[in-house]
Amino acid sequence: MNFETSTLKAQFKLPIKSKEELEKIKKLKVNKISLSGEILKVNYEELLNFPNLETLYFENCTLDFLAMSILTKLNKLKKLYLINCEILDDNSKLLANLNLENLVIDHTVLNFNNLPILKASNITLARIDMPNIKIITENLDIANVTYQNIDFLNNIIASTIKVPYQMYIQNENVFNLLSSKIIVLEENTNFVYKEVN
Amino acid sequence: MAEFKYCNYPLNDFDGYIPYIVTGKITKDDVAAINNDSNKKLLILKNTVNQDSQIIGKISKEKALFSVLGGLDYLQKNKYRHPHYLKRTINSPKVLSEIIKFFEQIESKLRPFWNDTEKCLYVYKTLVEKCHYQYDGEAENETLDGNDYKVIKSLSGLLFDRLVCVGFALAFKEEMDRLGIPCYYQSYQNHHAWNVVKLEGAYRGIDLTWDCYHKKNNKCTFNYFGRTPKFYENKHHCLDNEPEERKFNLVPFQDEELKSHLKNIGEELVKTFPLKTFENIKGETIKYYNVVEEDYTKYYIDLFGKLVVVYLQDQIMPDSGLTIENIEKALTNDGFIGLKPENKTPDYNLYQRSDGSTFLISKEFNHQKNVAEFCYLDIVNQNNANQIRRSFILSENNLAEITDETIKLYIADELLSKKRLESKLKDFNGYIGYIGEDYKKHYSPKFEQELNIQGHRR
Repeated sequence: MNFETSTLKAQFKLPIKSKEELEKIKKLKVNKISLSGEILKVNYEELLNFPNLETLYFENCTLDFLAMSILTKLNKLKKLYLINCEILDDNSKLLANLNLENLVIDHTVLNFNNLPILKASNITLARIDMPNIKIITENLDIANVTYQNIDFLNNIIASTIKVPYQMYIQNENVFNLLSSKIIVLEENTNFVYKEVN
Repeated sequence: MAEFKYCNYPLNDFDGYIPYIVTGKITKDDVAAINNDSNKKLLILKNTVNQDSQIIGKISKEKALFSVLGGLDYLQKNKYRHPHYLKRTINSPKVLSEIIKFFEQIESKLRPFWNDTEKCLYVYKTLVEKCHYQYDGEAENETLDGNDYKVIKSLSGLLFDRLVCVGFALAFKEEMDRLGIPCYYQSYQNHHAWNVVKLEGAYRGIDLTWDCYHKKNNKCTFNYFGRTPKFYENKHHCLDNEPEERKFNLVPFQDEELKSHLKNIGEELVKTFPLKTFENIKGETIKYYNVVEEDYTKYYIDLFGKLVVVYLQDQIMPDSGLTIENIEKALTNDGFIGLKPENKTPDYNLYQRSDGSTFLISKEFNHQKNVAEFCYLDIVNQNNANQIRRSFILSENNLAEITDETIKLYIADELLSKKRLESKLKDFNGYIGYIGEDYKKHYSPKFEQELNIQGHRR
């Protein structure tokens, strides 16, 4: 078992040996860099040993075709967190095929040109350039994205969108006309400034 | 052994666990006594200072739970006497052991000669870059060791890298307590939490949450480390209705002050540098790492697994000047390829162990009392490639100036044997001790204590 995961460590069962024990695991964190800065070896194929995974965190990982195709085989996966990762170009499409409740993409290199659609019940995009692609979700959090303009709004179908203060203030009329509920955060904080619509 | 004092505080009904205030380090004997006692105990710790993760982890949760007061000191402050605050302080022995391991890992990277501000900055940076603010929809609670924990608002969130303001402020205070740096947890109840830390004689405001939420490219901005007091005048940091919170006269750091400290913390205890390669005029592949200086370029060379350093005048092209023959000749010429200039002395002292491995020791960097900090360089294999490792080590011996080859060999094989070095870097923040006049290895426990060296606290 090559996974060095705080989630697993917290369960105090490493090293896990039996298949039954692995099947009980519903939440896993895969982090290629340990707290002490060591780069750890990660064999993504071992994820198939966790058929009941519901929540999966990738941190500091480069996800190649193999890794992404393995995700499509985790049928119970509901929540995916990509933090400080890199998704190699040709694999973004696989991300769109996952049937997720929660999708968080935080400071992750992703070629959105190859990504036809992002779909999940809750989507958080943070510390990335806001992509101009179709996004279908209940709750979209884009309070921490960078953006050139707000053309991307044309492609978003969401019940609620959490946006940063500056984005809202500069485009107040546009946001007020949207059918989505808009949650505006205070400038430079994560406290709610106001809700509109 | 630790002292256990019955706590006459209305916690008596805490699931049958009888509250005791614990002072001092819990020892293996204490663990045996706790595990053999018929009573279940709630062990109340002021903080985790001096506690050993491995010893704590051996306590049975059927016999004891821990309540780490930290920022939520319900014995001192009425406002934390609500059960939901108490619950945030509770950890099973195994969970607490894992939490302490997290702090120990951070502490193992600290350079002992960093001052308190630098240690504080390093902790701040590590927490900001390692952890994330809870995402929308992400769970607040997790099951740990069979129990439910509100991880985002307690130290246990460190095991998931997931916190909110309360968790960040509690974690920061705990680490500052462990390092002996005065730190205060400030709470605007049910709204926000942050810290005040005393550095360089003044109180400084610290808001990790703000930095974590606004980190750029996952890098800490330090924008909320010792900021202007005006920042703390906003409504989220308002303590007007918090009579139990101490109001501090905050002093900001000047940009130049912080820059100087940040430069130092960029030089961690251990860092590796990848080797570059080029083919010289003779077709030999040279693996090197170079540093360009005013008159010379310094080349660290992987010479068949041995690390050596040579100096080349800029006008000499590396592909013609940097040949194996020239490098080997330079080693008998204080590292200079070509004429050795009169006014230039080598920066490094080259040591060789009996097994043939070599390492370089630089001139001393810092000096306190009888101990000096030296830069140690060697070659390590990481991810199937040789890399240059730069570490900082501390010793009472002046390792940079020793010329006697017999003593150097003894130091290389004994004081700085490969195994001993790894252990000293991992568990003793690079303090290797010294070879005395009796030709035996020594170390100073007093020095370890004064400089907060990791090994001493275990």
